[in-house]
Amino acid sequence: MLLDRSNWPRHRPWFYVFFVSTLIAAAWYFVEARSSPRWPGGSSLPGFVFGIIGGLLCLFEFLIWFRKKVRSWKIGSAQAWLRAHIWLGLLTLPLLLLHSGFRFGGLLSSILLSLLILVVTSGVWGWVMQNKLPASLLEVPEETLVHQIDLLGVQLEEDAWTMVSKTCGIDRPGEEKTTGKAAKGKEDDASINVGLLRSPIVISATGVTGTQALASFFESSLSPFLLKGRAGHRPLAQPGRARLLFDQVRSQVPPETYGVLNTLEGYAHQRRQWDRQRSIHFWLHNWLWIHFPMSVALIVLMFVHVVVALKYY
Amino acid sequence: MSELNKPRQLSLPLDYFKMPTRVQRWKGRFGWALFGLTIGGLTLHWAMNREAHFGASPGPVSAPHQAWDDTCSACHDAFQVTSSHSWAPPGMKHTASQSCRTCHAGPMHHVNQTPHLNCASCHREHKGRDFSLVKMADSNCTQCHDDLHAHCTSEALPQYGNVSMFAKGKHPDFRSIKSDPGKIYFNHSLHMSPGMLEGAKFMLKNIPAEYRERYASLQKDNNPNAPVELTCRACHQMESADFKLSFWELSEIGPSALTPRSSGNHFLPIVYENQCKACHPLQVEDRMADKGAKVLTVPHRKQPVELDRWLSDYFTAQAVRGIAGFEEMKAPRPLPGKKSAIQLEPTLKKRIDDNVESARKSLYLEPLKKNCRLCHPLNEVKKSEAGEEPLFPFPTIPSAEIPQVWLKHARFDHMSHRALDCRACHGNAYPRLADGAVNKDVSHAQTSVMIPGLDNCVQCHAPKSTVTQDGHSQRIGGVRYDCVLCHTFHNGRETDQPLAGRGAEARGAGRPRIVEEVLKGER
Repeated sequence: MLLDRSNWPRHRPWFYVFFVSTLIAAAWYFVEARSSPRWPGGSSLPGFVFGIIGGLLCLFEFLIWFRKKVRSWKIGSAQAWLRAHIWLGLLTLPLLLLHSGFRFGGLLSSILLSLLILVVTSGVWGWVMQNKLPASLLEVPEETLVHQIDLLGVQLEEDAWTMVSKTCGIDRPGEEKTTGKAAKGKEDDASINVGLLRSPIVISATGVTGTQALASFFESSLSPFLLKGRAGHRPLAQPGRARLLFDQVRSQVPPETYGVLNTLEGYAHQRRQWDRQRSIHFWLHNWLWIHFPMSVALIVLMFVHVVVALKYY
Repeated sequence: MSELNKPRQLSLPLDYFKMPTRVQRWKGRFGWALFGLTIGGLTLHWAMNREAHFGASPGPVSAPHQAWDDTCSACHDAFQVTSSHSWAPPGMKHTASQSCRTCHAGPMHHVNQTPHLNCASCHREHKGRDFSLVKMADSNCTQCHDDLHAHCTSEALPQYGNVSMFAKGKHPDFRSIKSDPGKIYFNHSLHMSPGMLEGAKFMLKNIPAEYRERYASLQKDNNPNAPVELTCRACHQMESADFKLSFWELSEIGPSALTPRSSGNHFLPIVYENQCKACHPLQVEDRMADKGAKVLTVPHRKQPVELDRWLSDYFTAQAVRGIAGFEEMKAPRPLPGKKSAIQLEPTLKKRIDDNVESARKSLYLEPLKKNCRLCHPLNEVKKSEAGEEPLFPFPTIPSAEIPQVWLKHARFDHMSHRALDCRACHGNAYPRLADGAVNKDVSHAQTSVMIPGLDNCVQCHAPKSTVTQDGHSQRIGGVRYDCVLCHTFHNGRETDQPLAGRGAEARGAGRPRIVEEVLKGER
């Protein structure tokens, strides 16, 4: 959910709800605190009210999970839900801090307050990431579906192997198995074309002599990199070193193969972009590993807190 | 031409959108894992604890209540509001603190206070093992004492000033006794002067040998010819053993005056036998018939009428025993027709009466140093309204009436102030200042109360600060100055009884219980 000048008018009402509610709550709390021997907690009137409102807001926050799961549930747009989720989620923090009387209290309330702080902080972190990182995707013109990168990497590697094998006139063990997979993917009816990998290349059907260095480079470096990215071959993940490596191969092979080499260098570049995209995607969404599980625990423990707090009020 | 002469497509499965990303997969896994952990942890707690509270306790209870740390119901009434300061949600009411009263009656502070708060309003539990439930924050007191008129029922308006903190102008002056009501003549200045008066020479050798060592050990110059120089500790001790009395002396004084195990924070009472007798023995002349006079020590703590009887009995007994020389008297031969007893009787009686009369005179009439008048005022006998002479012609001695407690509404622990020179608070008891100069403020009046006021206390019992006076910066404050340092709240009875202590029956348990009931927290 971007927050910039263009969409600020949509956020503005929610910001006012957050800001004014916080001010009113703080004013009420500190007026109550003046006549109280200690910081009022959950058992004071304002503390109790803030607890109820904060608890209901937490439940509302959790509803966004259902909203996403049940896409047919058309109550408000997804964007409106997200805006409410963000600003009302932020509001839970001051309300529940006032409810706690600025004390962690016992084990249960300490866990609850810690969870709340974690959930809100991770949410804010995620929001910041989602506002900052998408600009970085401009560096990735070859952007694709991030969870299909591994599959596309396999296709890339298969095509690269086809070029190398035809150029060098070699086969590799288990080729049938690997290419069989690729062929299936390529010709499967239940598949969709998502882009043009390369333009046609003209090369002698009998192959080119003196291309041993190319075959060796493919096996040791390029193939692992295309399949696994940075984890497969770290030097090719760095553009400078990759250029040096390709230049080195170029110096060892006949000029007729330069066209293939240029295409392979393009594949490496594409794979580097996908790696970059995956990295950006990871930072865009990894906060959810904290935000969501902690929210689950928070909601469960909140119900326990309500019961025991009232029982031992 | 090779097969590379064809464009190559990238293709994805049609249902690619159904496949979750790695982040989404792990988000779900972590979510379920934490859900399971939370439910598992709660179930485990439910199974393993005597009473499931799920960590609701805001902290360990204080050491006196630690046996019930896991038994919430020992103190909490389920779905009732524990503290009067807490807001009661609809459907819930404030507890009457009956669970506390099972063990502590907790008598109210004042009958006319309003509102009547329950125990947890002030005594905050769950603050840790070492937290004191009686070391209250001042706000607990000042919530009412800051404005007493607003916190008293209309029937009885307060006679005390408002208190917002312990400081001049914010706390009333001490309501200690303004004038000593005691009926004992005692001059601190005189007794604190070397030789017992400036220029006088009451020397160590004037103290009877059996008591001399006790007083000699308290002064630097313990030569028998050195003037007696008393210090505060010569008479004021907090521990019985520090008087270094022999078994017989202790027996004479009795355990009620010198308790074998004293509290340690108050001075032991002043009793004649312990603090006065060495220098002021109560003696009268015992005239012998033919051996001159000897000194007779008479008992203390008797009214003249009782003492007169004792003296009469003593001298009669002496006569009977023949100790007083009566036996050696030669009785004149009786005249014919006269009984010898008639001749002897007046002589013996006269001697007894003479001894008693002499003793009376020295005890009550003469302004001697060693008679009753020295220390006690005497209530002179008066004729009745009808003009009749009283049956007993001697005065009565009023009771000493020395207050045992001077600050009735506060506590003072002398032991806590042991590091201070006594002059810091009781300077006008000393005829000379610490540097030897004459003390112009010394008190000579018996009615003087040498208890300092609030000004003296706030030198230490105040917030830490530094004041500059005459170019010198002086540190003041830094010692505790909270209300409960000096004051208690539950005075032991329904009415104001400031002297009632924690042993008062009014603070007792609701009903006696067996060990198992107590440990289970049953009410």
